[in-house]
Amino acid sequence: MLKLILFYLQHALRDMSRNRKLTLFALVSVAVGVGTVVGLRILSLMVGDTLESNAQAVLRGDIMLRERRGMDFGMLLGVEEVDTSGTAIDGYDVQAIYQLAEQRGFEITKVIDNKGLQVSIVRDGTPGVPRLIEPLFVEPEVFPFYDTISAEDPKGASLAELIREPTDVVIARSLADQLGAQVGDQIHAGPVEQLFTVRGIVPNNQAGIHNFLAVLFGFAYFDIDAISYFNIPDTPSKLFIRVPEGMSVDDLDHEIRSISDVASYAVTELLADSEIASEALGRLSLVFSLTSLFIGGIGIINTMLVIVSRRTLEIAVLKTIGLKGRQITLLFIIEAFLLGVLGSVLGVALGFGLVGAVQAVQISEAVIGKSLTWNFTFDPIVIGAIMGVVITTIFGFLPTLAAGQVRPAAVLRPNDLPIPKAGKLRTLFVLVLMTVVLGVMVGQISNAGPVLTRYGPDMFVGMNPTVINLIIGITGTTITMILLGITVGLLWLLVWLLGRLPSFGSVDLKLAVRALHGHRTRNASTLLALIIGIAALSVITLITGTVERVLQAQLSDAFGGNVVALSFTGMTSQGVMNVLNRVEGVQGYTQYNVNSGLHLQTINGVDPERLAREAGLDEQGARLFRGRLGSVWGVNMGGEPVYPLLVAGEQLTSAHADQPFIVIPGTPEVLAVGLQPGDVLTYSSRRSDYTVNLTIIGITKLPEEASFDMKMLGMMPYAPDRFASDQSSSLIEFKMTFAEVEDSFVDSALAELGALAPQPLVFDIGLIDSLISRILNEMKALPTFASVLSLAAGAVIIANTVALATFERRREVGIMKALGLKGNRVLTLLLLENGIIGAVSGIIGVSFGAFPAAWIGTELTQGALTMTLPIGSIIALLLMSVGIALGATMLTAWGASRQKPMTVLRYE
Amino acid sequence: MVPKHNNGSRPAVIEAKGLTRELPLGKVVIHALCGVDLCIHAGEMVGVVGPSGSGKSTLLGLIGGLDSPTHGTIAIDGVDITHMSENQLAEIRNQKIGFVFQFFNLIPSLTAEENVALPIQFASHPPFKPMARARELLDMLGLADRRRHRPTELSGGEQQRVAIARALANNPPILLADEPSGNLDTAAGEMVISAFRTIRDEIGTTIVVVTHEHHIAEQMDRVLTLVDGRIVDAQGQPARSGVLC
Repeated sequence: MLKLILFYLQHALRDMSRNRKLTLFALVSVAVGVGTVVGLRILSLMVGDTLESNAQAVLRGDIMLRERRGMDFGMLLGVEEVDTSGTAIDGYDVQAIYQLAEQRGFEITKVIDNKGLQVSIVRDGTPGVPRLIEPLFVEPEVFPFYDTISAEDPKGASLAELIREPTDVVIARSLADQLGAQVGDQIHAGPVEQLFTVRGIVPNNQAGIHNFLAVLFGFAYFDIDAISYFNIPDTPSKLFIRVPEGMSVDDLDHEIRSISDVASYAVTELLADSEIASEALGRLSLVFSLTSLFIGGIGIINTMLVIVSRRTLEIAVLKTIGLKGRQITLLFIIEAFLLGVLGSVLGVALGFGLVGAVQAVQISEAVIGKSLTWNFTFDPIVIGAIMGVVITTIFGFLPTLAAGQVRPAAVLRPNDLPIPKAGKLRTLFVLVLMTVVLGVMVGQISNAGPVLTRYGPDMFVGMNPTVINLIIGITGTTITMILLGITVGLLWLLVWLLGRLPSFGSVDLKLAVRALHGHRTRNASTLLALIIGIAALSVITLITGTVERVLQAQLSDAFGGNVVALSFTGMTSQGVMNVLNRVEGVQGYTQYNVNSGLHLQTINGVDPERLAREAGLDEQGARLFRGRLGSVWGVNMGGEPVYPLLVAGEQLTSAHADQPFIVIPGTPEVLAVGLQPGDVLTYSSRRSDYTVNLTIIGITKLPEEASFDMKMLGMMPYAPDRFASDQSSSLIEFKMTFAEVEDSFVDSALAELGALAPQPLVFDIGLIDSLISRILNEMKALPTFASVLSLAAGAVIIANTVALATFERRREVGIMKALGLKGNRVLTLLLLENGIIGAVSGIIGVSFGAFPAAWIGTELTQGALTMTLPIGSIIALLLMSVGIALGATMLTAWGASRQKPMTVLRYE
Repeated sequence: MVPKHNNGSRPAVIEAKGLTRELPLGKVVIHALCGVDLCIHAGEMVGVVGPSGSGKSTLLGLIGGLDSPTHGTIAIDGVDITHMSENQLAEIRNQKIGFVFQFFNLIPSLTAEENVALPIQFASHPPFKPMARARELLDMLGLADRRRHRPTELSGGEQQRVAIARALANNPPILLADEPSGNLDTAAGEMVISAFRTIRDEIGTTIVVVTHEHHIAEQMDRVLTLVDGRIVDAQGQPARSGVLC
């Protein structure tokens, strides 16, 4: 028996060596699949390890206590009237927690954040372009409790070393880049006259967790004592606690919660969350890995089919000398097994290479804000190798079973050999076997049993977890196999239809589509492999692309301007207008008073809701009617407002600046009540006795595709500013100015606006665009990486399939060349054939991402689809799909198209 | 009709001098042809015989521009093709030469008439309307009712006749056949040879047939015998080139 196995092994090794090209194809298929498994598995373990091993450092302590979220404009503006109660921990709670700290002996440090602050660099005494940031006021000598926040400039310096005076500040790299600041520069912050000195620059990932604004806008560390410059109370927004050894974090957390009303987040919760995140990442990587391996499996089937069909004569010869069918099958299974082993070894190496590449490009730092660390385990290697060997062997089983069915009589007609087939029953048996084996693997790896036996559904509660794993794995795999079977069937049908395409008189096209038709099953599996890869990438790219576009559209294009200034005092809003009138490059601006303090009282002297009910509207309709007309915005007639379209009447013009006219939105309720130009709306202030009668001059059309300011105007009643504001009250003015400024003048406009006192809050919309793009890019980095791997696996399989097809058709190529076809035209034929595969795969694959993206875009923009679908990305993905197919063809078919026909005909 | 033995009045369409082809096989170099000289005239029907491995197919491949010689020269229809580029050779194969193989080598995805039309469609300047010409040739070879069939739906003899029709598609002056009846029964083989005779007699095509079947060789105007890559005379001695023309 041993001798026989040795004979098989020897034979298999010799065959692999003899069919070097085919062996290489198969090995690459396995290696890419296994490489993806190993790479993603290691990455998910690394993320888990990193999060867990650094939990205290990530949290900056053992327990973090924080207030409710909110943005405090008060500090920014130096206006004390603004309510700041929602942004700090209650003073009584702070006192109670500090008292508890003294009693129980735990350390505590406070942080004040969640305050928007505008900073600008000061050069030659003049402040530059202002940037909105999140300031983090900390006690640098103790913060953070674990690890250190170390600067990249000066390299390795800690906060305690850098912040020694209240005027010292350490800023994020992104902010330094935006400001053009270096260590030693001075910056101007908010309304404070005192200048701060930049003592250090820290990496962007050093803001800590739960600091989204800091990540988005950039941040700066100030000394906690610096709050005195900003005239804000010393009430922390966060407290960080270090629990002494021997004290239970959970017990302390519980105790703090019992004496105060703060939100707490303990390191134990972070660990649990990290574990969940790590598990989720593991599952995600498992899905991508299995996909890659499955695509690899298709490569194995294709390769083994070619190996077997090319060796039909050899099999027949072996049978004539007495080898039995099952021995032939065993012979080829051993070959498949060896391919699996060798491919897995290569795959493990490839997986480690991928991880190295990920670390080299620092994807992880963007995603989780940390360099990855990994406590080496054999888990990924073992899982990858087992999956590689098992999947190769079982996927290779069907072709090897077919090999066993070759009839020895074939040896008599060596040039008329039919392609060996396994038979329906055997094929069914192999498919069932494949499903069960894959199911067992999937079930064990997903390991859902322990969770389901505890939490249900009911049918699983109390059941043996291993049995649950088996049920879940086998059921899931069966459903997947059935779905894949149906998909391959549909693709087979598609290829059949492609084969029926008219050739429009082109012989090249005719040969290409006939060749597609001639290898329907293989082409269907090639389509599947490419579609999976492109679909994975397009889902991520197109959906994030759409979200990005929608946000950008709503922020930038739709704002009706690229510079936005919010002003809270009359002096500031006048200052903003003066600047915009003065500086170069301002193409136009619109200023609105969005806090007029006026409320609708009557329409033509009648209560609005009564009017609505009389018009037949129900209670809700009546409320909506009143609500939409309830307040009024003032338009500064000095600007160049962008108006919505009208359905009736006329638009406000500068001629109406001194006339009490109003334009109202044509909501369904307004139209139902039948308001017309000429009707009079009476608004009054609740803070004073100011009342104004505004005559309707126009009714707007509700905007569908409109810029943000148009939308706002289209949805709000608006009137000339002098009428639409309660001048007599002490109401805080809140004016928004949208300005369109030529790109090259944006910075100078921002600088001038930022230099106003009191300072308006100034946004560079272009900058917000890029910030959002950066955040989205970071969020999608890991899934994109995983899907690129799947696509890479798909590309290798495509190359493999094309290579096999070309390899198989060398004789056909030889014949065509003998008939006078030139080498380039042979290549064109093959490119055309595979270009069709690439284009069809691209269209189908991209649809998987495009339709959800279109749906999301439509939902987010109420129908403005064309604005949101990233057409450029769609075209790029389609080109990528065609490019992969063409590239693979060029790689593999170039040589074949250049061979002398005699060489091919002699040896084939 | 072309007279059978009147070489002197007809031009040479195939002329080879010192034709040598060495084939590397692993570390060994096989001398498939060793300095063959030959000259074949228009309208001749020449048989090439010899034992297996004597270089028959190699000679045919070199004449047909499927391969290039290691040494020596070949001229087809007065044009030296020895140093032609692969694209130029493709033109020659398309315009001047028709091939008939032992295993038919039809394109399986195309019907009989599409197979026949293929060389015309590949031509830079098609001399005929492809489908009309295909129908004409298939009619001539008795396959009018099989033209919509694919190769797998045809018998061996029918496939070989389709292959002959394809070889004649561009009306080439030379038709090269490598064991054309080797994969056919006697009746089908006879039919193929009869088709060759008709073609030679009616169109004047020069036909070179590689065979090791004596009864086929006997039907040729002239027979060249190859042994170990050399043309030999009746006594098995290397033939002088003059004898061959």
